[in-house]
Parts: sequence; C-alpha cells; structure tokens
Amino acid sequence: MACGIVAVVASRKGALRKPLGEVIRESLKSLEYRGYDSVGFAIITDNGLVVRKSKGMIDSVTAKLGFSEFDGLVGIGHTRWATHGPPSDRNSHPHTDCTGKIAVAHNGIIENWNELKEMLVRKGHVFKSDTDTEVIPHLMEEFKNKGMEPYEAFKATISLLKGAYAIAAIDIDAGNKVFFARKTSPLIVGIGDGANFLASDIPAFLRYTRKIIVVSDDEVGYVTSSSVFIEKLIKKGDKGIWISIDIGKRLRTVEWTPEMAMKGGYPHFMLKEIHEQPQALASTISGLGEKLDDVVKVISAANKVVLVGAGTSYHASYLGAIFLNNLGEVFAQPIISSEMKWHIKSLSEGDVMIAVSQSGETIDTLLAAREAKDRGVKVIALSNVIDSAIPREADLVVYTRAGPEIGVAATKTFTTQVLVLSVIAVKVAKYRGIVNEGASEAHLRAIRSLPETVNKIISKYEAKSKDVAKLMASKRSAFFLGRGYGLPVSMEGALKLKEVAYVHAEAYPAGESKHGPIALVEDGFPIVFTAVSHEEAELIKSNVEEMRARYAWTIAVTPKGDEGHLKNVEERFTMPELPVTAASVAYVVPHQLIAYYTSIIRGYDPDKPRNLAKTVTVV
Amino acid sequence: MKAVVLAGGSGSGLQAITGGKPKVLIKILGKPFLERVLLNLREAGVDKAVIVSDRPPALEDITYRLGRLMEFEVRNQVGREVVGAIMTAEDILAEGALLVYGDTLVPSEAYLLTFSHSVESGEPTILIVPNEDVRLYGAVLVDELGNVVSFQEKPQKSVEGAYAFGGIAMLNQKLVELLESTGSLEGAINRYVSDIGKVRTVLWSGVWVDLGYPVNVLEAMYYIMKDLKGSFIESGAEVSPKAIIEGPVYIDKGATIDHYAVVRGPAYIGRDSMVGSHTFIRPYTDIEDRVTVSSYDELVWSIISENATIGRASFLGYSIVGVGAIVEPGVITKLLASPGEEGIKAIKVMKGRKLYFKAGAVIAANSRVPSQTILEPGILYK
Repeated sequence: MACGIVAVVASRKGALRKPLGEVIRESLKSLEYRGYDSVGFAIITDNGLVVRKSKGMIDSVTAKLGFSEFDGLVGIGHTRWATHGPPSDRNSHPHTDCTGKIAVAHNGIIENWNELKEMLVRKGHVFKSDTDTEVIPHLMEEFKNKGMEPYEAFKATISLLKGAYAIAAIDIDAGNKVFFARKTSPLIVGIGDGANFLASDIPAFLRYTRKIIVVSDDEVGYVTSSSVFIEKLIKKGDKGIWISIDIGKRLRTVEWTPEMAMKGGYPHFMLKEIHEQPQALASTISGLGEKLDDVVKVISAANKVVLVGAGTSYHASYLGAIFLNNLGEVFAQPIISSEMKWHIKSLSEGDVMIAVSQSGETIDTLLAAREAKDRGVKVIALSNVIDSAIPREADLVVYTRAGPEIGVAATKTFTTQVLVLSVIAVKVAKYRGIVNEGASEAHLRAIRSLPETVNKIISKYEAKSKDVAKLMASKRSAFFLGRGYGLPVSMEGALKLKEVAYVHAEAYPAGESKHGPIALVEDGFPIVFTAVSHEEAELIKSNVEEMRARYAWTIAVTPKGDEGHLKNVEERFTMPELPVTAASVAYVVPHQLIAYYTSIIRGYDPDKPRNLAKTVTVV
Repeated sequence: MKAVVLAGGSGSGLQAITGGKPKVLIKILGKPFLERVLLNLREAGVDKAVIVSDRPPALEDITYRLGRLMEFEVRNQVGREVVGAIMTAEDILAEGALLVYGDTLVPSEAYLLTFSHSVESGEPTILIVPNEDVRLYGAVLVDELGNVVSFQEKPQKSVEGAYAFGGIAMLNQKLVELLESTGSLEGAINRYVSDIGKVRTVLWSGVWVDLGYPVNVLEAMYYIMKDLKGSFIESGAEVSPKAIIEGPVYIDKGATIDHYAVVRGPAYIGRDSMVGSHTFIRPYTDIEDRVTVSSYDELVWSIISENATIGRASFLGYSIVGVGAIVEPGVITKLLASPGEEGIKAIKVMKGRKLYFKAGAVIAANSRVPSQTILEPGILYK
C-alpha cells in the first residue's frame, strides 16, 4: 500500500497513438493495486499547465475529470493512498507553486515539511493544501526567483528535503522534461519508442516498453522524450560533487509479467495479503477518525442492530454481533445478505443496520441496505473501497484501510473488518457505561498492538502451518469447531480451506458437534478447534476428547496456558493471550496460512479459485 | 540474465552415494541434479551460467549436453566454503547476476521472482522459505515489510520466527565488497543491513529441496516424479506381456521388465536396466541406468543408482543404493524410525491420525551388503 506516481514525455503528439491524458489514466490504472483514494494529473498543454485532481476511485475520477481529453507532450499523474487524515480533493496530487507553472507528484513523507513551509509562508508563498508535498513546488519556485535554472532549482530543492520520497516534477519553463528524485520510495524509468516514462512500479508502462532503469537512493535527474540523465551527490570532505551515472550499465529488459511485478516478492497475492495484515491493521487503526463517535452514538441508541454481509463479510458480521451483544449489551444479530429479505419486516425506525462489504458493491448487501433505508432504518456501511455503492447510499460510513485486495480469498480485509467492529463495540460499551475506562483501554491497547501481534504470529507459525498443510492436503473433508468468538473464526477458517484448497470444510458450534457431525468422524478425520479465551478452551475440552475418542486428527488454535487442558491434540498453535476483541482478529491467521499452504501443496492457484469472483455484483 | 551456480559441497552421507563425485551429480530420473537446476534456470531466462566447483572436470558432461541452450563458464573454486565459492565469481555477482546454490531444487518461478524483485526494488534480495529446521539452512529474521532484520548462517539452535535461507540471492557491488571484508555471508548481510541499506526478501512457498541429507534426495525424487504425467516406454525397451505396469511409469531405452513383474508408478526404470520376474516396484522408485533388480524383490520410495545390483528376495524402502553397490539376496531394510531418534532424517507418512517416520538405509557406492543382512532405519552402510 502506497501512493503511485507516473510521468510521460513524448516526442510528438500522437507518438503513443492516444492523448497523453489517456496514457496517464491507463498507467495510473495499472498502479491501482498499490492503493487509491484520490487521483490526479498535470499536463503541459498548448494552453498552459492543466491540473485535475479529485478524491475517489480511478475509473470514476478519470471519467469525471475527463483525463483522456487532454493532450500534450509532458505530464505527470498520481494515485494517492492517504495514510494519515481523510482523502480530499485539495490534498490530492499533483501540487503546484504560486505561479501555476510547476506541478509535482510525490510518494513518501517529507519529514521537515513543517519548517520548510513556515519559511516559505514567511516569504509570501500561498499554500493550497495540508500536504507535505506542496513545499516542493514552492521551493522550486523560490529557487527560480533567485535566478536558478529550473533543473538547478529542482536539485537545490531536493537537497533540502528530509524523509522518504519518489518525486516527479514538471515546469513549463523547463520545456519537455520531467525532473525526478528518489530516496527510499521506489522509482523506475521506462525507455520507450518515441516516449519515455517514469513510475513507482513497472506495470505502469509495461504496455509501452520493457526496457527499464531503476533509480537508486539519493539520485536525481530528468527524462526527455529521447534521453535520460541521472546524477548523484558524492560527499568529498565537507563539499559535495555531482557525478553522473552511466545509464548504459543500468539498463535492463523486463522478462516477467506485470502480474509478477505486482506481487512484490510473493508467489501469490493471497500470501502477500496475509503478510500485509500488520500494515493493513495499522493503517485501519490510524484511519478511524471522529466519525466513529457518530457511529457509536447511533448504535448505542438503537433498539436493535443487524449486521449483514456475504461470505467472509458475514463472518466478520457474526463476530461484530457477538462483540455488540456481549461487550456492548446491545441486541445485535448477523444475517446473511441474501437472506435479509425474510427478516427485513422486523426492522423499523430506531433500528440500525451495519452493512459489511469489502468492495462496497456486493449486490445482496446493497439491496438489503436499500430495503432497510426504505423502512427508516439507519444504515452504517463498513467497506474497504472509498465512495463505492454501499457507502454512497449509507447514512454513516466507516472504512477499513486494508488497501486493494487482489486475491479472491479475503484475508486482510477480514481482519481489518473485525478490528473495526471490535473497536466500535468497545466504544459502545464504554459509551453506555457498561465498561469503565480501564477495561475499555485494555481492549483498545491490545487492538492497537495487533499489527505487531499478527506479525509475530505469521513468522512464528508459517513453517508449522506448512507442515500441517502437508498432512491436510491428503484429506477430503474437515470440521472446524469453536464456541463463542471461536465459532465465526472457525467459520472463516473453514471457508478459506474450502475456497482455495478445495477440501470440503464445515464449521459448527462445538457444542452442537455431537448432534450430527460426529457421525462422520473416523480415523484421521481432521478437526480444527479454535478458542480465543481460556473460558472457551475450557468449554471445548470435552468436545476435543469426544473427537479424539473417535480417532479424529485434532488441531488446536488456543491461547497460551491451555496446553494442559488440551494436551492430547495432535497439532497445536499456541497463540498469545489477548482480550477477546484482539484475539478474534489474531487467531484467524493460522487458519489463513493452513488454507494457503494446503492449496499450494495440492497444486492449486489460491489466487484464482475456480467458480469464484472477487466481487459479486449479480444476484 | 546471468547466474552464478555454486556446485561444490559434499553433504553428509551424500558423497557415499556418488562414489566421491560432487553431490550435485547425484542422478534422479536419469539426469544429474545439477542439470535439472540449470534447466530450471534456463526456463527462468538465464542465458549464461558461471559454475563454481572444486572439481570442474566432473561437470563437463553437463555443460557439453546443455551447451546449445546456454553459455557456460566453469571456474575452479578458489577459497574455502561458501564464501570462497562466492568470491570466485564476485565480478559476475557484482554486475547483478543471480546467486544460486546448485544443491537446491526450485521451480524456475522462484529464480525469476528473486531476480525481478531485486531489479524492481533496486535492493539486494534473498529467497527465504518457511522451514522449522533453520539450523540446517541459516536463519533469516524479517520485519513486517519483508526486509531482512538479521541473518545467522549456522544457528546453534532453532530461532523463533525465523525463515530459512533458500539458497538464491541477488547481491550488489557493496554486498560483494562486504563479503570480502567480513569473510562470511552472514557478516556481509548483517553489516549491509546495519550500515548501508535494505536487504529484501522473497518468500517462496512452493517446492524447495536442499540436498543436505539422503532423505532430501528422496524428497527431490518425489517432486520430480510427481510431475510424470503418463507412462512412456522408449524404443528398445522390452516389457513382458505378462508384466503389469500401472500409473505413470517411464521405461527408458533398453530396459527390460521380466514376466510377472509389477511396476506401480510413479516410477522410473533407467536405460539397460532389468527388473526381474515377480519383483514388485512400488510408487516413487527410481531405478537408474544399468541396474539389475533380480526376482521376488520389493522396492518402495527408493533410488537405485547406476550399475547397482539388488539380489533376489530383498526388500528396500526409503533407501538409496549407491553407484555400483551390490545388495546380496535377502537383504531387508527396516523402515520405522521413532521421531526423536538423534540424527535420523525421515519422511513423514500419515496413516489415520498417526504419523510414521520412515527411513531406510543408505548403501555406499561400490559396497557389498551380505546376504540376509537386516539394515536398521537411517543406517549408512559402507
């Protein structure tokens, strides 16, 4: 998850057979997987510098702003993934100077922007956004005012910046050139035919060229339509000298697919997304703003609450309902979106629906939300996609900030959904006076530590999950049993195994297991038990023994300290002791890993489960 | 793309199988291990390989055979151990060639993933694999963004949360310089991470076999055999109409399958080899060239190397018979090892909910096992 920048310089109009604005749109679209909540471009046209930018998804923004109508020889584009603060039109990139001649797209963080901004404001520069990036065009302007040539002004600007950045800048006075600089954030030059490119990642220009130069840290330079110049400051004593880089040595030909480039060092999106959970959780936590207070008030005042969702989102809804019932003491019920039709009549004004959908476009959830609204029910949307259909129609919106999820099997979107719902429930409990400050803080502290906790669980249990998967791979069927919070976690585990590894898997409340499912248990039958607390572990103890007596192969995901209770299980994932809220997020991780590795060992592609689509938009 | 392939190293108990040749020359399904590594590199787009070996002439066969597919340069290893091998090709590595341990089998995608990730990120990159036994391969601790935190080449005990080093890396000029000054891969990577910049990782989840122990050779054979799609009988092979061939079985040129022999695939019967009457070849058995398996034998999940002979009524399972060895009649391997037994590396097999650890014998090249010998699990017979 990061911003994406692109830049293009063409030798003549039509060199790429389409308007420059369209080329930039396509390039930004190929960087969509890096995250997006606002989009913008700047092109030097015959009528001067044109800048268009807005929050929202790439497709809708580019259509709204008419990207493809603009043509020119030089342009830059940007997709923003706001890590702090909400996305907005004015904070979208590119940013410009006071004269409207310079435009800059930036990925990264300028650490000393505040002092630079103060200095520039004192000199009379007028800032139009709250971003760190805007200091860059104003600094360039400042240096130009002092008589520097545009490129010298750019270099002087870069030398003042502290932090991480990949920057693309254009200046009407510089002609057909894009200036660039890199520190820490990725930046790649593409050498095309009649045009050169610059982007955060290779897929942005792979349709035009496979010849690339990777810009290294601390390098600056510029591209024209036919040349690339890169230089680096080398310290000699207390003086620095600029040394130009031999780009011939750096030139490489990309022999891999854009898809491989998007996977960022993982063989599958699913594995990448499992490993991205610490970041996704951290980003979601930092994105929970004041809006949550309204959500908490609305839920606290509700007569009853229903949570609707489909697939994985239903499992998150199920956990959300238990959180609200058990912690907030609010009557809440999870209902599968497509079944809502038969429950809707019981809802009326004063009730609340939480519509949970990763994409915000799931048709059954959207229809349920519409029907609820018609009946005067307040609808709260929980989605991962800014301004998607369900958030647009809802009364209140909370976003998970998991970043785009490309693997069809939901992983990071599930854990971030559960995190948001747990925070809401804790706040409702606090608001309603059911728990005191200390108790609610204990939950929130554990929730805030989830990025670290989940990271530790992944690295500690990845190898063991793979070992368990080697054995699971030969099984045809499995049960996932749990009680309380452990039940929806089990349901999610069963769904993962079923959808990516094609092992028939069924989740059941552990207490119900002897009312039917136990009849199927025979020697070696896999049963995965999940308990998120000692209380739940104590309660499933007898279920574990029943199953073991029938020679089931048992696997336990349970908190530390329960080894004695469940000492006979064949495989154990000892999890950190956590409050039920944080545990419900963290304990699903081994399930995800087992499903992923079982799929790999069985020879399937976990990113493309047969018969499944990422977003279901038809009834 | 260029690659530097380290082809030295003996491996415990492995040289016993080859009769002194480098372990990367162990043959599986008719091809030396190293040849498979090179073919996978070719598939990943490698067109030049610099092979570093302590015995270059031993590799001539392979480079001659693959010479039409890619360019080779074989260098005599200068220093000792892995660092010595790496330094032998430091010039190529500093230019951005892929470093590959020749005793590690992975599909071509793993090479491409490491190479492409390093190019895209502009950082040195190493391949890591989830493995509980990091002591054998080196322990890599990684942060939540996939950057190396620390690397231990030979940890004394298992390291919680560590991944195993997968034997594939893209270094850069600086890292190669650090190798020289620190004298170890561990020192170089840790110094790089603390003083210079990021070392990225690629997490590999697919097939990965490192030839450390004999059991790894059996694992490698398993993965290669799993890819057999159907049965094939080469011209010049003689299969009795009374023999039963089941499942994917590759019968190479000049091989003979005698009356009433049962071959249940996946299995491989090498050139000019002979499977005697009433012998039962069970799944995952690899019989190399010019081997004689007499009558009434039973073989399962084993490799019988070139020119070996198996006498009448023997049972060999989870075993490797070295080049030219003679197993006299009536030799029996015992297979069940207990999981805790020190030093025994076994293959896990699940029956019902119980796990069994199966390990047979390794019979050294050119040795002779006397008639009626009972071989204990995990034994190396010289």
